Amino acid sequence: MPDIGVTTAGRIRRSLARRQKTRLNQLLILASLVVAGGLCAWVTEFNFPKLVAGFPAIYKLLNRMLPPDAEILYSLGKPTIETLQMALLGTTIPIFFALPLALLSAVNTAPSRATSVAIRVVLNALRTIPELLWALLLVSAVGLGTFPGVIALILHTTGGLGKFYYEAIEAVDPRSVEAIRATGAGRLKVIWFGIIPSCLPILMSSTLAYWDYNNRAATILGLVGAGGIGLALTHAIQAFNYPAAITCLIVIIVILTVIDRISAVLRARVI
Amino acid sequence: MNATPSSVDKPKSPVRPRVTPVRLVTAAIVIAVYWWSVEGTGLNIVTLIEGLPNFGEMLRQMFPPDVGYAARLWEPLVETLAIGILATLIGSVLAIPMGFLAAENISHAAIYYPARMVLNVLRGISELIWALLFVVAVGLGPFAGVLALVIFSIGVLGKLIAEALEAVEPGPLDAMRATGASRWKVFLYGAWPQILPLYLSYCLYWWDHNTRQATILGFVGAGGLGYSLFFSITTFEFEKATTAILSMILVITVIDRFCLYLRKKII
Amino acid sequence: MVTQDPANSRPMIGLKGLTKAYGGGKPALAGVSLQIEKGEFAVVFGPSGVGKSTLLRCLNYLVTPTSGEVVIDGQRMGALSARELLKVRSNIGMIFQEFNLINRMSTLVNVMCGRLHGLGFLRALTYSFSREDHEAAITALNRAGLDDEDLYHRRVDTLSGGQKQRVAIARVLVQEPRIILADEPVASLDVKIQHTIMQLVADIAAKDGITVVMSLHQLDLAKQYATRIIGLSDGKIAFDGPPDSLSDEVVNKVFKIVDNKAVTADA
Repeated sequence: MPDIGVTTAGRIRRSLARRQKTRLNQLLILASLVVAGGLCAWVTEFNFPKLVAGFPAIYKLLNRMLPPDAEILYSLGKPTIETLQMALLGTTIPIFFALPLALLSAVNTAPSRATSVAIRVVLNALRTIPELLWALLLVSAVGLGTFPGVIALILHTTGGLGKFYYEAIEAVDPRSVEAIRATGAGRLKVIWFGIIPSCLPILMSSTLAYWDYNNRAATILGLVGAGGIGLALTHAIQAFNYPAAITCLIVIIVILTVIDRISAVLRARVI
Repeated sequence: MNATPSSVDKPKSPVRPRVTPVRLVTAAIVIAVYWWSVEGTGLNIVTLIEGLPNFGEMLRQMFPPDVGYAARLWEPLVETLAIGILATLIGSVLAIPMGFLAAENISHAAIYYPARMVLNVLRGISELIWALLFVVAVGLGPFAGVLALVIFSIGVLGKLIAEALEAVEPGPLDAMRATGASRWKVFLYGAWPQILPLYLSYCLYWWDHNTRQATILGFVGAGGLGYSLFFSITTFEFEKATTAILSMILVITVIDRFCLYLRKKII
Repeated sequence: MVTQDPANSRPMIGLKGLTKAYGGGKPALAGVSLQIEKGEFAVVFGPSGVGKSTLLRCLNYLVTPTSGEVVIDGQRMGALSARELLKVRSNIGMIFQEFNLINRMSTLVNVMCGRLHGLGFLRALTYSFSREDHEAAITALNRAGLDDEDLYHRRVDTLSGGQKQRVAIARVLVQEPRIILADEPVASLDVKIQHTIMQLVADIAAKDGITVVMSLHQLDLAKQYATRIIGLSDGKIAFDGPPDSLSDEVVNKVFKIVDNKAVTADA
């Protein structure tokens, strides 16, 4: 049957033409990404010769770092503990601020639309400014140390947790709230017995996620003088004591990996 | 989780006791840890109250912001955006082979563990510390910043890709293997189409994150807005700092919204 | 016309003492030995969980046997290099119960995936199948009973179950296989379509002289389409012969049949 051959030929032609068209679209997307990347590379002076030259430089640095200086491990105990303490306080204290603020800003629990919007703006500002910038501002206001570090974490985490919390509260099934309200419970009782229990797992898992995040953040607060192991690292680098620096790095990797595991296990249990 | 074993084992008392030895000990430990932490970090109300006037003074100096300074922020602003975009582009591409190698169901057993280990180390150090190291190695400037973000992005996106690949439906992979396709073809045809939407959404999310990071990389001299910010704060020119902070918020918010819009379009 | 060709005298598939144990448990296959000649339509019959699927997957080495030998067309699978194994696999098509198509890709691309083995590096990397691949795919879809051009460019997850299995059969056809392995190919389909698909596979196999090894748990389908039935029970061959010789007594002795389906292996 020759006509089958003819239709098959037509189908192949149409199919190939179709592929050509999608190929063109894909090429356009690819080209625009390449152009964007090229422009950005030009702005940031990121180029190939520099990259090639960079490898020996990195190798040289690595060479000067090894072997790690095990002797300073003792002196790293205190800053390590400080780091963990900052993260613990910087995560748990904000709960007491974030939860009320979230309740006042979630649309299903807020007293008025105006409060909701106002509090969201505040939470957003707290969250948008990175903890490191808060730390820098606080260090220049009240001086060096772990104290500004903790406050910085508290400020940023209040904003971050507040957002997580109000999103969780808004996702609560309204029917379960109705059931509690039907018993004649007041506003506070509705919140305490209806809303909080049904979103508790999400509240807990997002808090744990922030604890994980804050441990990471606490390791770099020292870069602006806000204490912890980051300070030890900065001192080591400024003193060109590279073996000590890599010991700090190893300690950081170890504690962050351990915390990551603990937080993953706890989160799996909470949900 | 509030039922201690002892309260479960005793059916005699219908009401669960509120105070049990286990709970008392737990409470004591928690209080001790917090006490220790508060002591250790020097967090106390007196310091806080003493610090407030200083902070108030700083706030007073921050306003009104130095609007004229904005004209000099254009260049660092563009640089910040460029660092974020370039690092995300390079990082997201390099993360694909790493994710492929680190996925248990597709990679080879001998490669899987080392690949995971490499990703863990890349992710184990924060961007800012990578930036600090790269500044030491290759000098001040945005180049070090891009390298730092690329390294960290590979670590995070590589892990996310590996996890996505491990969650992929195994059926199509079997079908591709059965046609005699080699390992990387099985990946490209059986697995990659399945995770593509997820990958794109991770990339957008990470672009948002990288832009935020790019605003503070300058603290260690790795380019972008952070340098102006750091300089104005450490030299106590707070009215300039306000301008820089506001432009930083602007950049972060714009990119955040844009990513949200793109993600909605993809999904 | 007929010359004495040694290739014709050897069996298409030869198994010797094939054993597969997962973990440390009871082996899924415990010493299976058999030969399947060219052009046979062999149905591996038995209740689910009896090792049928494992047997099929051992034939193309998707599952590596614990011990024993698989010989495909004179080639010992266990002795092949990775590259040679892929080559042998490309001559063995496989159809699955869940179709195992790649949902996010079009019908045509799914079919052309059957040609992955021979696809060059650059073509594979850019998802560019050749004109010949397109032609083969369209011809195969025609043979598999999907004549409607509108279906070619639709995503396969918009197709019905029967259509999906036809796409999977077309994917096997473009491989131009000598053997088709079919793992419960109609178990996820409506009863009405089951016969259509069985007939389709039987017709293709007869016309192209393809050897078929199919696992099934429905007795009537097995008896109607197979030229040979291999009963599997507890990882061992419990029956092997033409469908006619599979009397009800034999069936009842070896399997328990409920609603025409084998359910449990006899103790």
